[in-house]
Amino acid sequence: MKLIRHGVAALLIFALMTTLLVGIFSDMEENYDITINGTIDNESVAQKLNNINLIGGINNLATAMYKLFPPTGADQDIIGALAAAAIGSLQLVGGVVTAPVDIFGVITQYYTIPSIVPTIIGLLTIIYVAFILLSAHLGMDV
Amino acid sequence: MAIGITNQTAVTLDNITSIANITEPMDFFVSVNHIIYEGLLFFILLFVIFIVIFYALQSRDKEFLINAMYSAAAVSILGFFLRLVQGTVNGSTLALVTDKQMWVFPILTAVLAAIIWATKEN
Repeated sequence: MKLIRHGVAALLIFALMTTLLVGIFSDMEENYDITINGTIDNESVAQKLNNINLIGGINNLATAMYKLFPPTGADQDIIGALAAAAIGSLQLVGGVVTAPVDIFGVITQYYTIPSIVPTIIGLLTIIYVAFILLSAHLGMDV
Repeated sequence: MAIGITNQTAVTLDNITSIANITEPMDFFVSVNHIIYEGLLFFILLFVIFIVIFYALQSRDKEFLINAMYSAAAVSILGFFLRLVQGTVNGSTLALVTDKQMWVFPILTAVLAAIIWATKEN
């Protein structure tokens, strides 16, 4: 349980830092008239990271809160806002699970990873597992 | 797959004119970066500074991940500044580092911060 708590806190820190970085970049774009390049779907890599489930869930929750306040008096608004909050919460919880895959997916969209890297990771994993099995077989650390 | 600078820049009159025939000082740096070094000069510079800061921090305290994170954070700020310097090369506006190059260090910082927090012992 302690480990999960740390993982969730880590992802929240990641979300916070990504949001801050996107803010810095947007301000640069507006105030210094920089020309954006290297975008996919008109979004930079940090903006894409800002849209993953984890951070999208927080944004949905925030939108839901804004919708509730100030209330317009109509029932649908309150129900809609509650539904948005529920969806946002679900997205946030789901986002914690899918965050590593989401982050890796976004990075591979923008950067070409040399084909040798998966091979090296695969080999290292095999060696790692082999040593664990060997340790288990011998009953001692190797 | 080859890694690194693979193409050699030919010394042509066009290239020399593009580098020399400028009115803004910053255009010169951007031209040299893009025409001679294919846009990698300042990215490599950022990497060198990252390594220098990392080893400086390592000599004080041997905390691999934390030092890498602080080093990447410092280089990220420098990267944002380098991104602000734009110049015109052959009619197109380019910066000292491209967006993809600039985002490497901020994302590295965020990922390292997440890893450090996730592996905390208490």
